[in-house]
Amino acid sequence: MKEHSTIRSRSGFLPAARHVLGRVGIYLGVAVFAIWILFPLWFLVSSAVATPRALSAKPWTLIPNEMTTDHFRNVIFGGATHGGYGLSDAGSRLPSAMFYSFFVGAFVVLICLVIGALAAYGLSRFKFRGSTVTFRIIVISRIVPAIAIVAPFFVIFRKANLLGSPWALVISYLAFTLPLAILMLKSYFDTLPVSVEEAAYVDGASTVQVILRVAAPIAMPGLIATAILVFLESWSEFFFAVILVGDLTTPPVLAGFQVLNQFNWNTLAAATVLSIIPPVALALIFQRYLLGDLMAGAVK
Amino acid sequence: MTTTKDHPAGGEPRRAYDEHQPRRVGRQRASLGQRRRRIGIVLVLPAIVILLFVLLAPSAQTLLFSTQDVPESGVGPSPFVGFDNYVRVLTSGVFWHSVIITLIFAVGFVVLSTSIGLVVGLLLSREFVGRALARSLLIIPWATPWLVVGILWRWFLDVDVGALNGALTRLGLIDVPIPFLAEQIWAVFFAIVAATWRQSSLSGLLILAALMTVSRDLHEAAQVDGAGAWRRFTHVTLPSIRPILIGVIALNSIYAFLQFDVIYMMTQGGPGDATMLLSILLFRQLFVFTSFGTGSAIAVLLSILAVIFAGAMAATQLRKAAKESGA
Repeated sequence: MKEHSTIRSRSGFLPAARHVLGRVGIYLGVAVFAIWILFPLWFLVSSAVATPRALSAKPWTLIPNEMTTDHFRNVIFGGATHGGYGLSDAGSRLPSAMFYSFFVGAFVVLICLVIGALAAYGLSRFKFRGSTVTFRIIVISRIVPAIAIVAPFFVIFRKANLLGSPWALVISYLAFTLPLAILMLKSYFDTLPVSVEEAAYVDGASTVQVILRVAAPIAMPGLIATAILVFLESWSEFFFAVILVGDLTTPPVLAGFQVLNQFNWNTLAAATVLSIIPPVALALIFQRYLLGDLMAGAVK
Repeated sequence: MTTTKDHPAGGEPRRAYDEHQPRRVGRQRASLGQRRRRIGIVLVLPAIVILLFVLLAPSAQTLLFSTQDVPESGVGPSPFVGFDNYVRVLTSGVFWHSVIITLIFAVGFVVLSTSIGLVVGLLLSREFVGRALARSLLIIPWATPWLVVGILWRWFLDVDVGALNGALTRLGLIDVPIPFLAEQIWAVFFAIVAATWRQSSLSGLLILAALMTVSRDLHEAAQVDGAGAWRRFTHVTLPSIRPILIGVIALNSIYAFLQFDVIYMMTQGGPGDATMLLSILLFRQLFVFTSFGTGSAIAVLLSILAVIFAGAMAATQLRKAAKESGA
């Protein structure tokens, strides 16, 4: 009886009105969502191209009324003579810092992909006594906050005279990127059918051949997604970097810019915009690989 | 428990190998199994060795440091002092203040990141013009480094050049710019908002991915049965994404205790000690006061707190999941 009445109340003009209201609601929600994401980003980008005067103009304007490329030139070439700020050559530190960030990221990705993929493949395809426990421990190890284990790295790298070297970061970043890579890739391998690999074994291929010629190509989307994720982690890392290598890579250099007196917000904004171009571009280009099952696999 | 079993990725892929193994002769099969196990170990070994050195050893060393009187350089004789470092930390007012600030931050961060992520996920799973663009938009905060999030919001909230004060003044909502980061309550609030800006994007992406797999038939069946939007949400959508939701909550909890960059760039723990998270206190203890002993004790306590918190946050959803699968 009751069910009947609910069904009837949904016919007539009500559904149409509801539908329109629903549509309006969705677009309103999307508008709020867009402002939430874009307003801070817009502020960053517009600050990087606005002149200092335009930035502090009253009343405030959404689009700066005076623009310049000076800030970008400042942080790329170092600006000793530009417009009253950037009195030191500190600005020119950004390109070299970005180079070192690429360097560290590339090696971390390489090690994670080779060592991590082999381990993930082993855990997924060749069960051995303790393989499940090993995987569980790797998953649980991600709960250890990375910042809690920085002191031993500092002491060891000081002894080994590696403080300030990019290798200090390549080594220490593996503590949190390698478990992440194994976790993601094992979940990925688990979803792939084993039949193709089996057929190759039947044809007499060796394990090495199967891994390189059969498994790796099939797993390429997973490998790409893992590489991007690991690179982003490495590119973004600040805590270990500021402690172990000072201002060698991009994040500590940006942090240094903020406390430099001769750096105003405009110049810092330009440096910040340049520094997020690589990760944002990578994420947008490869978003197809990053979404879907793989992202879901990352939270298991 | 049952939820993990149901997950397709949790299945045992070796099943297919076992099917063709019995075709081989007895003795050969045993040695083949042995060979397969050996291959597995060889593949996993390099990763295990690396993790022993970069994860287990530093963790053990941190534990050891926390029971020692470590010299300022970190190198040299470090006499064992038992629980002295812990006693010193646990009896200091700053530590407990930081614990409370960390918990306030963590609760705000996890609740906001998860709920905004859920709303955004639900929104972007609907059909509308420009949906692909909106989804790309959602990726940008996630791709933005934590440190940059801190820099961005530090200046976004600035009194002189900040866009938030500028826009609020222009819209006539406030008369004079508010020095958000100089006032304790605002500083804590916006530290949470800034960190949430990035984390809610990751939560949204994960929840969206989960929503895409929710069966449309189930939804339509519920609709035909006369279930309203809210009932459909609580009885169809929510249960089906519960496993992912638990994962997202656990992930957000872990990130809450990892949080350092955003606060360091926005307030450095200030004003006063208003945003002095444990991670900031840890940094000061280790590298400003160069006290490895007490710093390591804080590190250990922080890790314990993180594990308990993540467990407690995930447990609320786990209990519901257990109830649902039992019913």
